[in-house]
Amino acid sequence: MEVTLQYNNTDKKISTPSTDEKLQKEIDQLNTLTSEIISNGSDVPPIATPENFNKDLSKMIKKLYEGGVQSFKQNKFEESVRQFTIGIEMINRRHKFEAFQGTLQELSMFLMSRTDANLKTKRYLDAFNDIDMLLSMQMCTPENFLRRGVANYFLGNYEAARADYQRGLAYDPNNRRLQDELETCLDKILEENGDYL
Amino acid sequence: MDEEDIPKTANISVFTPIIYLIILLSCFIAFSIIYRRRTVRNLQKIDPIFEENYPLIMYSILKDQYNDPNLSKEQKPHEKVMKAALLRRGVEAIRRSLKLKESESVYKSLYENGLIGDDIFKQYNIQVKFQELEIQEIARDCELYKKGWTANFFKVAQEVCFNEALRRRILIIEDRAKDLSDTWEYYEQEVEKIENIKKIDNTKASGVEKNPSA
Amino acid sequence: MSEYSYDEQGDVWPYFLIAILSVILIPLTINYVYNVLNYQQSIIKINSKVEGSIVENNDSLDLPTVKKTTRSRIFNKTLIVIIIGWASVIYVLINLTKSADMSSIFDPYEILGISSSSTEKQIKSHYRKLSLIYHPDKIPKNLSEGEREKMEQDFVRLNKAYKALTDEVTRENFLKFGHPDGKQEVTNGIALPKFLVEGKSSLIMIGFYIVLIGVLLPFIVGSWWNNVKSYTSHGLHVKSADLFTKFFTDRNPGKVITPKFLLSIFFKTFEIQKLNISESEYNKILESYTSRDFSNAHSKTFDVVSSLPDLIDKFNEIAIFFRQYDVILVSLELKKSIIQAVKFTGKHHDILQLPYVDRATVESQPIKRLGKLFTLKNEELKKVLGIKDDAKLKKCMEIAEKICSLRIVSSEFQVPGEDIVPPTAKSHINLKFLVKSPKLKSCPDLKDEEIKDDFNENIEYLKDPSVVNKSAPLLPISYSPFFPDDLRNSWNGILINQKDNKIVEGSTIINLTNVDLSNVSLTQEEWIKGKVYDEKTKQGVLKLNNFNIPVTQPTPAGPGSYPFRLILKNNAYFGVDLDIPLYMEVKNPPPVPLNKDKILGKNVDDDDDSDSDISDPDEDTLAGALSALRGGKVKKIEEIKDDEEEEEDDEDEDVFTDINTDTEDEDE
Repeated sequence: MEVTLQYNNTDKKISTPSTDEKLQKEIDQLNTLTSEIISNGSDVPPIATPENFNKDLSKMIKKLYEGGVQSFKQNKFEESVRQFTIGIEMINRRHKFEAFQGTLQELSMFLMSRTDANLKTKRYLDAFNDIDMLLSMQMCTPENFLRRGVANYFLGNYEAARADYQRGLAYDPNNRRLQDELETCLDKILEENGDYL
Repeated sequence: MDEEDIPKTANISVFTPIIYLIILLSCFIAFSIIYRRRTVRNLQKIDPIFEENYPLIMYSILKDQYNDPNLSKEQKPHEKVMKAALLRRGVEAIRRSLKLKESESVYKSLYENGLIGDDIFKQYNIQVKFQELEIQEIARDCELYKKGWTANFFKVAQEVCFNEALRRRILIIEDRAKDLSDTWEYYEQEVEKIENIKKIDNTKASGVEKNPSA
Repeated sequence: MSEYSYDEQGDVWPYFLIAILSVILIPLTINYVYNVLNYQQSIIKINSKVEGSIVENNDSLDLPTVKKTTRSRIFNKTLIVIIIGWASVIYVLINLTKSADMSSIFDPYEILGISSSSTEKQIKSHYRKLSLIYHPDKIPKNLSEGEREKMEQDFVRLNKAYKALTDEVTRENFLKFGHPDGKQEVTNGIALPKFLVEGKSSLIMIGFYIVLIGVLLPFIVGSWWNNVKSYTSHGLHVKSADLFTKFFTDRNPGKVITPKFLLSIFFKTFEIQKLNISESEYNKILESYTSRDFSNAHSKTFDVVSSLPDLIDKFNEIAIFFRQYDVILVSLELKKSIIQAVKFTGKHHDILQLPYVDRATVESQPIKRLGKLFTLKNEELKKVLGIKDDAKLKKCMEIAEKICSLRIVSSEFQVPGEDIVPPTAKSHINLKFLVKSPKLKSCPDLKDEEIKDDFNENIEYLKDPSVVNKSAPLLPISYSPFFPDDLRNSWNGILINQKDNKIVEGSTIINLTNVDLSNVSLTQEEWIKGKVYDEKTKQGVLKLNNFNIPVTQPTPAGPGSYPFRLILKNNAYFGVDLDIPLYMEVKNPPPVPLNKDKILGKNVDDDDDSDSDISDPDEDTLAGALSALRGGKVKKIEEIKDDEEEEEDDEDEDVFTDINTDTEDEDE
C-alpha cells in the first residue's frame, strides 16, 4: 500500500492526503507524541517515575474530582457528571510517557464516580458503559460489580445484574449490599416470569 | 536362452544410463524448485496475522526524507519527529509481541487439535521471528538519534503503549454506547416514557420505582 | 521367468469389471439408502416417540419457511447411476462369465475319482481297478489312433495321481507346488484382450497408462490431499479458521460484541463467500428471514441460513481455546435467533420465538417472559401476542408450555469415591435438576434424602462419572419451524473461573444432550406436592435428572473456597438458559479414616450450596439497599480508592496483561 506523508516544519506535524481512517488515527497519535516530546523539553522522553508525573495536572485533576464529589453531595448530579467528564478529558491530556499506573489510578477514580453520578441522573447506559470499561480493565472490586449490577438492573438486564452480583459475592461473600441487591434482583426475575417461590 | 541375449544388451550405448540419470535428476530438481516457489508464494498469499503496520511504514518514509541529501533543512523532518516516529514504531512492536506471546499456547493447542490449518500456524511462527528482528532493528535505529538510548527506549515505549491503550478505550466510549443501545434496543427517552406510565400504574413494585427516588 | 498371458477368450475380464463396478456401486448404494431412510425420519416421527417433546413443524403449523432446493431425495441422478450400474453387473454376471476352465489344476483325488478322505489302502485298490481299464496293454485294439492316445494320456495322469498320493517324492512335489512334476511355470494374467496390448494399439495403451499413473493418479491424490488440507479436523475451511483465529488474536477489547458484528465476521468466511452474494444481499436475507418474511425470499436464503449455526459452533470451538466467553455467549444467542427466525436485537426474544405472534404488538408491551404469559387470561394473551385466531392462540400456548427450563435442585463439585473435594484431585460438577414447564409456578420442596444419590456405590460411575449422563433419553429435535434443517436440542455451555473471569483452561463446550422431559405435562398440584421418582419402588412423579461435567483442571492444591460460574444455554429456545454460581470447597482429607456414617453426616452439613441463595428467601430484604448505596456513595469511593492503593501490587499484573491485549482502534 502506498502511503504519502507531508511534513510541515513550522508546527512539526505530519499529514497525509489519504482518507484512510486508520492511517489518519496513526498520524494523529504520532503528532500528539511529537508535540509531547517537544513540550517535555528533554532530549529523549524520560522513563516514567512518580517524580516526573505531572504535578500541576495532578493538582487540577484533584480539584476537579473534589468539585465533582462536592456537587454530588449537594445532589447536583448533572453538574457532577460534567465535572467528572472534564476530569477524564484532563487525564487524557497527560503525556503518553508518564506513568501508566498513576494515570490508571486517576481514571478509575473518575470512572467510578461518574458511574455513580450517572446512575443518579438515570443515565443507566452511560453508567453501564463506564463501569463495564473499568471492569474490563480488571478493576475487579465487589463494589464495581455492585455498580454494574445496579446499572444492568435498571437497564432491564436482570439476568446480567444477577450474574454481576454473584460475581461480586465471589470476591466478598459477606458483602451485605451485594446480598441485598441480589435478593431484590431475584425477586424481580421471579416477578417478570410470573413466578413465585 | 539367457546366454544368447547378452550380446544384445551390450549394444546399448554407455550414455543410456547417464541420460536416464540426467533426466531423472533434472525432474527432481525441477520439482523441488517449483515446489519451493509454490510454498513461498503460498506463504506470501496468507494474510499476516496483524493488519498494516502503519507506524513502521510512516517511520520508514520519514527516515528516507530525513536522510535524503536533496532535501533542504526545512523539508527534512525534525529530529524530535523522528524520535516520536521511532517510539511509535517501538510501541507497535511491543504491542504485537505481547499479543503473540499471549496466544502462543493457544496456537499450539489449536494446531495440535487440527482446528487451524498449517498456513496460519507457519504464519504465526514467522510473525514471532519477524517481531524479534523488528525489535533488534528498532534498537539499532535508537543509537542513530541518541547514543545509549536503547537502554531506556523500550521502557518508555511500554509506558506509551499502555497509555495509548487506555486512551483508545476512553475514546471508544461513545461508540460503545451506541452499540449497546442498539443491541438492547434501549433508548433513554422511550424508557422514561414507559417508566412514567409504570409509576402511575403500579406503585407497589419493588426495585425500579422505589429506590431512585429514595 | 514368468510370462504374461492375455485374456483372449474373454473369460477373466468380466470378473475384473464386476470388481471395479462393485467398488463404486456398493458405497454409492449404501449412501443412497441411508439418505432415503434418514429423510423419512422427520421431526414428527422422531419427536412423537419422545415424551414431552414438541411435535410440530412448519407443515403442521401451516407456517411458511425457506424453500429448500427441491431435489428429490428418492428420484435423482444417483438413483439412475445406481440402476444402470447394477443392471450392467447383472448382465455381465449372466451373459459373459463362462464357467472357468479349471482343467489345468491338478487334483489327484478327482482324477482317481475318490474322496479325499480315502485311506492309502483304498487308494491302492481303487488304482488297481482303474489301471485294469486304462493300462496301455489292456486297451482294445479296435480303437482309433486318437482314442488310443487319449487313453494313454489318461493312464499317465492316473499314474501321476496315484504316485502323488503314495510315492514319497511326487507326494512332496504335490504338497509343495500343487503339482506332482514339481514347480510349475507362474503365469500372470492380464484381464485385457491381447490386441490392446501387443498390437498396433500398444502405443495407445502405453499412453493410457502414462496418463493414468503419471498424471491422473497424482492429480487425484493431490487434489484429495489438498481438499483434506483445506478443511480443519472439525470441517471448517482453513480460510475461515484463519479468519476466526486472527480475530481472537488481535481483538479490540473495547469493542462491544454485538450479533451484527459477529455476522459481519461470518460474512467473510469461505463458507459464506462461496455463495457469491454481496454483503448487502447477505444482510437483506437475514433481515427478511428474521422477520419471518418469506414472500420474496432470496434464492440463497436456504444456504445462508442453514450454514450459520454450523459456523457459529465452529467459531465457538476456536473461541474456547482463547477462553473468551463473552463472544461465545453472544454467538450462542445469535444461533438461537437464526434457528427461531427471531430478530437479533431487543429483549422480547422469549415471546417472539413462538409461532403466529405479531412482532410489533409483542414489542410494544412490557411482558417479556413465557412464564408471565401463563398468568394471563385468553383475551389479555391475544393483546400481548397479537394473535386473533383462537385455534392459533391455543397452538401457540401449547408450544410455549413445552419450552421448559431446568430447575436446579443441587449443584456441587464431587470427586468420585470421596465425600469431600480433596486438593489436586480430578473433580466434576454434579447437577441435579427437574424439568419445569413455564406454566408451572414455584418449586417443590424436596427433602435431602430424596435428592441424594448412591453413585459412589456404583463401580461404573467410579470409573467414569459421565455414565449418569446417558441414563435419560436423548433430547428430541428442536422445535424450529422456520429453520430449514432439523437440529437436535441440547444445552451447550461453559465453565468460568470467577476470579480471572475466563473459561476454565482446557475445557471444551459442555453438551447436555440427555434430559427426561416427561415432567413437562405435570399439573401445578403434581409439581408442588410431587415426590421424586424412585427407581426401586416406582413411586413419585418428579423425574430428577443428573448431569455430570468433568472439570478439566485438577482441584487447587490449597484448601479453600473457589468460585466458578456455570452457563448452559439451550441451542434453540430462548429463556431457558442456566447461569449459576458454584463454589468448589476444597478440603484436606481427614488424617485418620473415620466412621463412614460420620463422614456422610458431615458431608451434608458441608454442602453449602450456592443454590440455596436462590431457594431460601431472605426475609431480611433491605428495601433501602439502593438508597444506602447512593447515600454512602462519596465516602465509599474514597474507601475503594484506598483499598486499591493497598492492593496495587497484586493488581499490577492483571492490569498490565489486560491492557496489553488492547488493539488498534475502535473501527474494525
